[in-house]
Amino acid sequence: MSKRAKKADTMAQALRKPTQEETRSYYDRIRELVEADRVDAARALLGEAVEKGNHGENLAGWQRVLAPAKAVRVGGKKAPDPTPDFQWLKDHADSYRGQWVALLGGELLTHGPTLQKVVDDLESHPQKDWILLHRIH
Amino acid sequence: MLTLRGDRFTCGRATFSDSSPFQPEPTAKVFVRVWFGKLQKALLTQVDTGAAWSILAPDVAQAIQVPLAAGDPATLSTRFGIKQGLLVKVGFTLIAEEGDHLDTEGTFFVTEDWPDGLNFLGYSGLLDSIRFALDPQANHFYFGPGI
Repeated sequence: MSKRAKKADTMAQALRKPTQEETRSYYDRIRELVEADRVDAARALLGEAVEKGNHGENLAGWQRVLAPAKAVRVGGKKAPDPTPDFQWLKDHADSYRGQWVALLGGELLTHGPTLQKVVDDLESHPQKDWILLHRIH
Repeated sequence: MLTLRGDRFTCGRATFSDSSPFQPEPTAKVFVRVWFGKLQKALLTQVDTGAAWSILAPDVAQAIQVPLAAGDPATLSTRFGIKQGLLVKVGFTLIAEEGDHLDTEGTFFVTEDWPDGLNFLGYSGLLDSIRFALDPQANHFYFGPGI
């Protein structure tokens, strides 16, 4: 492209009327894409907004929730096989519908109508990590 | 653990439940044990690659004190209809019986208008960022950090 043509193109870009889409806020456009489950498009638009930089919008929230999940740590003591607890749920669910149950090694430790009640019941249990909590609907 | 072309693909293995007495749908699902926040107890949670977003039940969100004030409002289409709620980052752990647990942080939708105790691990901002594989014959769920 010649210098003159390049200058004309730059001027045309500067004088171009923004489309209706471009006059709407990045925040709203990203939200609409998120709500339409178009997450990749939302991330791309967020990237464009961050690159552009001078839009005057606070997009920190979208940057946070659209960021990929980050592995924080791997490791820890191995968990016991949950199969006995899964079997208990198959065998006894009908008797506990609408309740939270707490299971360990295929045995019912406690049950109740709310998660908080069951958690409170288990406050002093020595094997907290391996207890399976489940609400039977 | 699983390897891919000689490199580690996953870090942990868990047994999953493929049926649930609390689900009205008769088709097989994948339910794994997860620790959420500082609850220190495992919750049976459905892995749902078909769900755009992960969902955390309101009573669980309350129990682990999810900072809802930092959430972003959103209206999402769910299996129970259109719901208004918040998108928030929540720390959780995939529990391994073999290998290592995976501590990570994913984006969850939290709404008051949702059944207690019903949690899902969905695709965006969570499953799309880790590696996972299924062995349906053995009911094994393999998982590891994304690259």
